Amino acid sequence: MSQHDGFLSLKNLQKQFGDVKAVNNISVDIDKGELISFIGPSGCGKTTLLRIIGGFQEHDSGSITLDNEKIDHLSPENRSTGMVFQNYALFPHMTVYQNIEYGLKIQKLQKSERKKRIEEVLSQVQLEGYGDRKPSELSGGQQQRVAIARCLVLHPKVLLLDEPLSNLDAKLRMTMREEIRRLKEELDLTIIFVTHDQEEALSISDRMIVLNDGNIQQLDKPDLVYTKPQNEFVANFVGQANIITGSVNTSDGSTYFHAGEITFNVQDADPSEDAMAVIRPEQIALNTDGPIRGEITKIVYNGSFTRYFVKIDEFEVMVDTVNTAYSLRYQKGDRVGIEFPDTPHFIKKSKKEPEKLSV
Amino acid sequence: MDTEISSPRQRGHPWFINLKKFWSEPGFAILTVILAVFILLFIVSPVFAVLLKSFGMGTGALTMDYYSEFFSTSFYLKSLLNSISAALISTGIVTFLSIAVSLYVTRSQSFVAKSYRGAALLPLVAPPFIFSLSLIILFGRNGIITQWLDGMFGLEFSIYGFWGVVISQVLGYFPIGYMLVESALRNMNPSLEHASGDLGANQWKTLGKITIPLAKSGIIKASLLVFVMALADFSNPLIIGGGKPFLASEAYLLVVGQQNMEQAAVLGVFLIIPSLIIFIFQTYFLKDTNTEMISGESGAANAPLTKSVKAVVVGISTLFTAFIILLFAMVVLGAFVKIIGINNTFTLEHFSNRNGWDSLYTSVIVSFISAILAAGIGILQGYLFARKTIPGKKVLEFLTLFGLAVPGTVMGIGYILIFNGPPLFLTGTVLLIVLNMTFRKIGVGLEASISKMHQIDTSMEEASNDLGGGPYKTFGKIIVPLLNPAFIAGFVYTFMTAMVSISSVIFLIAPGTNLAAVYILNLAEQAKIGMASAMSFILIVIVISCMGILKWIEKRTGVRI
Repeated sequence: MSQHDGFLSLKNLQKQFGDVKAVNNISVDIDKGELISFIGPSGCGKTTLLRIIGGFQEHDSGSITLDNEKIDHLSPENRSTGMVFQNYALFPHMTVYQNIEYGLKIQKLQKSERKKRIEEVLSQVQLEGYGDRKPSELSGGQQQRVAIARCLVLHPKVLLLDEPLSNLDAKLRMTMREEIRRLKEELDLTIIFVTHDQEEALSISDRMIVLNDGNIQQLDKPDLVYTKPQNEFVANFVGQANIITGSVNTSDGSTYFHAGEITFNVQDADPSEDAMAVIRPEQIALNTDGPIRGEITKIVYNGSFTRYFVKIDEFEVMVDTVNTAYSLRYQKGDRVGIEFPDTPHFIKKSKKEPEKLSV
Repeated sequence: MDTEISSPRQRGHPWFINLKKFWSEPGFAILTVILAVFILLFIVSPVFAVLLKSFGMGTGALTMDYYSEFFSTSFYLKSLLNSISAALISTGIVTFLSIAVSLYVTRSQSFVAKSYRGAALLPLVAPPFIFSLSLIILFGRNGIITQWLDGMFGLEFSIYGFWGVVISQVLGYFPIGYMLVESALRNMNPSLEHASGDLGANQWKTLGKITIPLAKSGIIKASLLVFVMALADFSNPLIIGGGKPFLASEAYLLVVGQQNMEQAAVLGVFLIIPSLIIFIFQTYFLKDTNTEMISGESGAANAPLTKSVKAVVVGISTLFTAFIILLFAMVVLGAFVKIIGINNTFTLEHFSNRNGWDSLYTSVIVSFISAILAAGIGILQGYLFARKTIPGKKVLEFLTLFGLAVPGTVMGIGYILIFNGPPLFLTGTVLLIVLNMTFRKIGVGLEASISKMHQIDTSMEEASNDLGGGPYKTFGKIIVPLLNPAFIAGFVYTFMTAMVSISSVIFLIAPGTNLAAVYILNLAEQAKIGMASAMSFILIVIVISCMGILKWIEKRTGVRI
């Protein structure tokens, strides 16, 4: 992690609630201008971690520095962090303008200066002319923008977003993702983004941290998290995965992956007796005459692609095929050939049983 | 809650940590301590004083003499029996009527149903003995209907006595029961009834198997509250009881007539025991019934009532509300004619009553101040209790709400015992009346603001913190405006009840400073029906206009009341 400048730096953060380690020895260096997302199932510690950074929760040990200043023991109002709450927490008895003005008034800024800054931030979030509305008169997306503007106007060094899009409908979620990216680029914002939606995290982040049981499972760029998950948890939580346990053997100069009736060529793999291959459903292809045969047991139509569940021996694998005008359609009960990729991603078998996902 | 805004890291015994946390915001801590002292002084100590007095405290050694006097005097025993049986009977009738009227009002959108609701709530704005007054006009010894019956059939009849008290209680306490039952029926998810109908049950069956069982906790709450109020009823027995002994009125007569504080205290203890039991039952055993389960967000409307159900509930509602309106009309008529039923010429002479107007003026001022205080203290306390770490919070909350449950008579006697000498010699002052009215009612503002606080997400305060507002700024700029509805709820309730309250303050008024409700009671006791009607009429008009002004403010400012 040395290549990161540690504009916001978390070192060995610990937080325990009773017997539960909500945050377990977490260290991360975050760059200025970076958007990093915390993702994980409920109870993984992502919100606790965010609240610790914002100063709403005291950590048990460890330290936080922001822009070379230790901020551990500062109260929320004295940290230059800005929190956007999941439910926005807009003050319902104040107008949009008054909501945004609130923090500026506390800083005792001149009225003309306040007006200038509020107008500026309203235009940044594209809400010019909405100043006189009450929060209840705004749509969900607009409320979201006000909540962001209320933080931005104070020029925070880090913007903390707690599941900001979870109250919006699917279409609006997409738009707001773009919007947050745009603001980030334009204003060079450093943003921490908490979400439980893996697709959201993949599409919005510069880097993402996958958390489970208070531990970092993986910290990487989105494409690496998806293509090279470090363990079974990450493989299953981010995207869908076929995880097949088998062995990797070398014979006649070629390397094979072998599990029951499944045998296929692989490149660049070390021989191993218990190898776990992570194969994404879209990496597998179906054909009519391949050597590995299976029977289609279930078909789920998804619009742009179709997911087939194919039973091979004791394994059941998911296969996604893009629905083009020419792609073949199979029926339930069809016997088909299955073509595995020759570059599957291998993960180490975890020592303990993977926890049941609670998403 | 793990969302509490955390304060610096702490070590040590949890109790010590709590105490440290408590003092971390000294302003709020000091307010809490002051509040606690006031609650102990103005709610708890009077009750203890009555308890101790009943054992003869202050006149030598503690003794059971006054209790043995109670149990060996059939007059006192009868007062206990009368109070309990009247309260039981009126509670039963009120509960039954509440269900019927609520069913009609909640299951019908018609204008008629809405006006029934208005009529049903009318008794709230009148002194608690208003129905005694009009029942006497109609059925008293010289009542309009009594005279007519006598003339037509030679029937000798009069309403005075046990049943007169029961009827007055039913009418007077109906709104309390009705409001609770109505909200229980209204908050129920209509799809449950639809489902029952869909599964083949007719509406009677649905009522018996689904609706009423689901509203059970609301209905039980309503009946308990009505029972407590009817048991503590003071003015109806005095006016229409015809000399029959009841606990509260007898305690009053013992204090005023014989200065027998000890015996009065014993009667007070018998008033307070059932109230205390019911209060504890309600606080600790009834609250668990899950209302979340039965409330739904479904936008569906209730199914309209079927013919047979409708016939029954509309019949009952119509008869009952018509009776209420008839009785109110009697009071209005009585105010504007010379002697109602005997000399029905129009007159305004009952209104030219200097003392009456003075007492009305005093009542408005005193009630207004008490209402502001009660509502203000209530919301402050609600905020502190909902958000702050306060050692002994549960106990303080219990005691505050207990203030609502203590019968007025007991509170009145307790206040005389405590404040009739040093260190706080307040008897006869208006201040004491204000304190009495305020602290008996702060529980309403407290409950309203606690429930409002639960609706305000803590993130609202965290956001304010994050934007730079410290705890006091957050309280003033964010919490207080958001608690406005709770403030107004507390204000309205305290003002209305203070305007017509009587059982407690009757002990505290000094010669010269009369309150309207007490003054009207005196008039009624002296059979000055015309004047009593006129004063009641003005009192009702004042209370209704105040409500109207509030509604107007609500419309103007958009603050929901």
